[in-house]
Amino acid sequence: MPASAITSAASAPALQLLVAGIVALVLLAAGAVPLARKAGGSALVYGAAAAICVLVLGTALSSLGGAPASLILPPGLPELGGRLRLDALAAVGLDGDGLGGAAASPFALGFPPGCAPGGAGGGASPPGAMPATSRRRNGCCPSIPPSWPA
Amino acid sequence: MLPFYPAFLAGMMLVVLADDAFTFLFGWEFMSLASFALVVSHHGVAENVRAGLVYLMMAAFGTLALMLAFGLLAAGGEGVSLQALSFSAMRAHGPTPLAAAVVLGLALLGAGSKAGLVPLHVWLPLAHPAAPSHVSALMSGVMTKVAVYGFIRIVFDLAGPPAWWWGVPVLLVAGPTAVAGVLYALMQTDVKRVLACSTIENIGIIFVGLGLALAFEANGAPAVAALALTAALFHVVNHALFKSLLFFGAGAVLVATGEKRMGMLGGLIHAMPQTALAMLVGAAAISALPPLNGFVSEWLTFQAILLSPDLPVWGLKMLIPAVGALLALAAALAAACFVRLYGIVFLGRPRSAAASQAREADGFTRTAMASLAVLCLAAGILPGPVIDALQGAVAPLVGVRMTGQGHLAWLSIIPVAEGRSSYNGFLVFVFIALSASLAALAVHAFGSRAVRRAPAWDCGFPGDDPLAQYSAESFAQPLRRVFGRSLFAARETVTMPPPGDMAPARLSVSERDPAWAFLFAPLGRAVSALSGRANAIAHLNIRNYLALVFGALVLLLVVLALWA
Amino acid sequence: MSLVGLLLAIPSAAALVLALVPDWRLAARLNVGASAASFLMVLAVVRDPPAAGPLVLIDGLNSIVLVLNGFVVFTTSLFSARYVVHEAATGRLPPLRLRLYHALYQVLAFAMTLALVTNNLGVMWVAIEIATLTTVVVVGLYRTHEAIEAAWKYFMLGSVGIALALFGTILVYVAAQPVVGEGQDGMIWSVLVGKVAAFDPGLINLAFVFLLLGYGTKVGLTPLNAWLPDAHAEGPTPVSAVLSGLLLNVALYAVLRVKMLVAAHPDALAPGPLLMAAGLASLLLAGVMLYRRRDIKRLFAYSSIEHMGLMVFAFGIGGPIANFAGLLHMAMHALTKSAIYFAVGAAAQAKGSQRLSDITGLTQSHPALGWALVAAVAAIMGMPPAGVFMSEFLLVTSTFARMPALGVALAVSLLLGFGALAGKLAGIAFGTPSPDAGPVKVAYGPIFAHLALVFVAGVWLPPAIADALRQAAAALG
Repeated sequence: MPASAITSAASAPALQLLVAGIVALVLLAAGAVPLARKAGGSALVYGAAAAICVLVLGTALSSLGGAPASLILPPGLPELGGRLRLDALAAVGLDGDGLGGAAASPFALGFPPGCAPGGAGGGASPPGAMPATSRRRNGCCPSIPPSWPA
Repeated sequence: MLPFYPAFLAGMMLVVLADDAFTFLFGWEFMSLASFALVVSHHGVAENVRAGLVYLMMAAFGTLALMLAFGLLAAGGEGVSLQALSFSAMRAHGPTPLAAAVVLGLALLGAGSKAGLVPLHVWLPLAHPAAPSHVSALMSGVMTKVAVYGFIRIVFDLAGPPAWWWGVPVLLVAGPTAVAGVLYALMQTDVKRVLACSTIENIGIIFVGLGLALAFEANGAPAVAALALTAALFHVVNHALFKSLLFFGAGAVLVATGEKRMGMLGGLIHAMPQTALAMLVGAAAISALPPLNGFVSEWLTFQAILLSPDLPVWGLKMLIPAVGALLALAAALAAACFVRLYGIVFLGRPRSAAASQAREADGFTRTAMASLAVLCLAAGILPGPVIDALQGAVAPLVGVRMTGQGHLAWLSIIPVAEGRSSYNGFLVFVFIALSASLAALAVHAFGSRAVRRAPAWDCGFPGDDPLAQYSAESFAQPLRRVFGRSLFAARETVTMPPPGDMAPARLSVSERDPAWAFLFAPLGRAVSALSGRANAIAHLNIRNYLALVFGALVLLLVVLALWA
Repeated sequence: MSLVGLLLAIPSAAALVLALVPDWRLAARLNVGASAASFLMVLAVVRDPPAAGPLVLIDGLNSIVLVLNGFVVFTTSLFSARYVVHEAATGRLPPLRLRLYHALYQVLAFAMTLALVTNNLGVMWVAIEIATLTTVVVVGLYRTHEAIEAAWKYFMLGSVGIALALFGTILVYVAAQPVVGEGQDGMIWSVLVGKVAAFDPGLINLAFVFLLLGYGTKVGLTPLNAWLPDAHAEGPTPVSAVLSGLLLNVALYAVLRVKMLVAAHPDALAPGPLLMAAGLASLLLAGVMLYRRRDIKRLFAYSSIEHMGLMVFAFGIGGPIANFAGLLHMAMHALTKSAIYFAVGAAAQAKGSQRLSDITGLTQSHPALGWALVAAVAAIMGMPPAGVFMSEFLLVTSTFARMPALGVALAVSLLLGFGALAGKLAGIAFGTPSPDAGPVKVAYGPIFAHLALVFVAGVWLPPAIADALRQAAAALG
């Protein structure tokens, strides 16, 4: 989705800014493919994602009370195009997206590359996921003696 | 898996901005695909791949349900054409009442599978713990909210005015979701799984608000509908804040100790005081304790529930208070759940070497957590401006807006009428701060200063075993016995060593998720059996295949003869 | 010689030359050159289509299939050039058989082109049968027990299809003869379509049933598709790609021509419901069968059956949107499935086995190949941004809007197939890598070219292509 593809002029600058944000995220995703193997690449990607999310959050907050704006981009279904609309409900939704991204990206920044913040802990988690038909474990954890019934 | 992170964010933003069915579902499915890739980041662990698959299936199911819903909405317009797939065309030609009802059901299935409504919640407790913590935070705090957005967009905006009963199915699903979610959470021993299950509860709370809004809007009480919808949206914002915060805390603990099993943690408040403080704020907020933000949105929901006697329909008059009771139960259980989580992980003494050697999280992590904690507090103390900001979204959907709250004296909010109820987060905050400081001062001033430090009395058993502490299992035991037996078929068996043997006794706990046991497992077995049956076709000999061809020919000729 | 004549002359001349070239390295290069020349010629023909004559008809519908055909034949020849190096090096294909392989590749290309450009139903029958017999020989090329068995099965079932289609073609002539008179006019499609309303409806119905079954055998409709998985699995992988991506499409094109003929008759059987039933049955059965597959090439062969069922269903529904979706799906499936086979061929060579249990953790052992395969399979599963998502979206929404029960059945079948492929893909791509058999050179060019086209089409269909698809969809009725 090239940014130059915007055809409709009758759209609020806020919506154009948000589209630019989405396009930037997509480009960032493409750029992350080579960056993922470089030292500092993940920091760059998370930093850029954080910046874009802050931009989206700010734009969405400022358009909470504004009039709806819409935009038709050439990508999408033929005849129909990619239709976008920024109304108050979308702005609330984008606040959530922007806020979450703006918080999670710096959080992810805090971890050295190669040590992703989380995951299953290399198989340390007890076998048997919760919704398995029957979960049976001995004790609460292997090394812990049982808590005695009250 | 790095490229999928920005792609995931882009997908979520595209869904929210979409104004036609294709763009919406494109973003929706793209978001699912990217988050699936993130869930299987650590695909060396078979468990994670399985979690990703369950998640992907549920996502595909949801997308297909929404596709069908959009097909119906487009059919209400100018017949079948590409133009009819735009949201503006769908708004212009509302669906027939029957089609709208089917759309409601499909939206509940489609958005509900993404949000985690019972019984479509099974992927949450699997996928969220498998993903890296920042992704868990996004999936739990933001992506489920995108699903809520999708539900609001389809049902409130596109499906036309609601019928009187539309609130009923939503409430019937949402109330049990809230209670079941928190009960699941109480039985989990994995920190991130507790948080994932608690997301199910919060989605239930949000959908209770949405169901109330539908019920009140359709039955001539748009002002109350505005209140309920505001409550739901407020809770959306709140949950995004505190659930992200809690997942960040869990991630920080995981990095510091390499553990997310509660039974291996403990006493982290000493090693990680700032993380512990931020987690305390998050836990208090999610437990709906004033003056934090979680209280405000749940209080607003209850204000709407308390107005249900004004409804003209008897069924709703009976149903809504019952849902209110479920909500109250869920709120109480949530508090228990987070007392358990916080107490086991941060208080007491470390239960493993990893926990005792933990170190405080790095600056980025602490900044992210601190800013979210401050936002939780701010939204709790200053709910008025938040409520006002949401009215721009509420007004077009239910027709009216709530009266302005931001300008009221002393930062209080009065959702319905002055004489009925009001809440002032700021005063509560000041009161708590003052009384707590006074109490601390008083204890210091008048308490006994004769402190004597000595080892704790060990009942005659020497050896200071941290495993003798109250554990996550023991905390959950009463609730497991009360609720778990029937609902989760929870069983406890104690294996005692023979007399004289010094080996420890073992307690084993087993439970099952009824949604999995009665819905998805049989479904999986059915598909498996079907494929086993059908697979016989792949191993016939050539005579059988030729017979099949001629059988098909005869069948078609018979059809032809009958048709003519 | 007209452009169309040239178009047919290139592969036939190339086949002759390749049959005489003993050096397989040179042959592989000549194969690429001939395929590229054919592709350019296709573009020239489509840009400036000749008027419909007794032998040649170029309209919107076959232009699309022709371009697709030319492109995939060309990219597959590129892949094949890499593929044969490995097969020759491991001794699986001796030089003499490689000579046969390259010659037959061009014969196959010739036969498919002929079937697409001809206006004569008889010639179309001949061309499709040439294509079938050629692939029978190629499927048995490895001379293993399984390959011979697959070729034999294909030959037997293919012959029955040949016979049924021949009888159907004769019935069309019998029905036409009283109206259009003796001679070749009774076989010319464009003439028949104009005058079909005066034909005896009983004969036309009967002809349709036989042609549907005859060509349906080649499309891979249930229950006529027993040959398809074996033929895909045991033949050389480039031929699996051509089979899945193209030959099935050519057979479907023949079915569509017959469908248009029958639909133009006011009193004849409505072909739509039959096609819908056959398509849905294939879709559902293939979706179920996917779960028990243990061979990676058979797995994707069943997936081809599933997608051909989807297309037949779409054309059965009819109308501008469903036909548009069907044509788009035809193009997207051809590109995606051949890309999958390119990747699968390389993966099978890298791991030295076609068994799914021997191919695991590909994203770790061969990151580029593994992720390319993940992208291609995700595309065929209908995930955005692939074009398959667009066609499935259009098909599901428009079907549910018109026939809710069928829409639900379609969605359930799609979900079944989705679940099976997702599970198999997770095993192939993730987890602990299985041991490698040796280094392999992968032809990434064709894979990425196909994927790029599929992904761009899913986001943005160029207006010219969208218009061409729309016009062809309108002609399909």
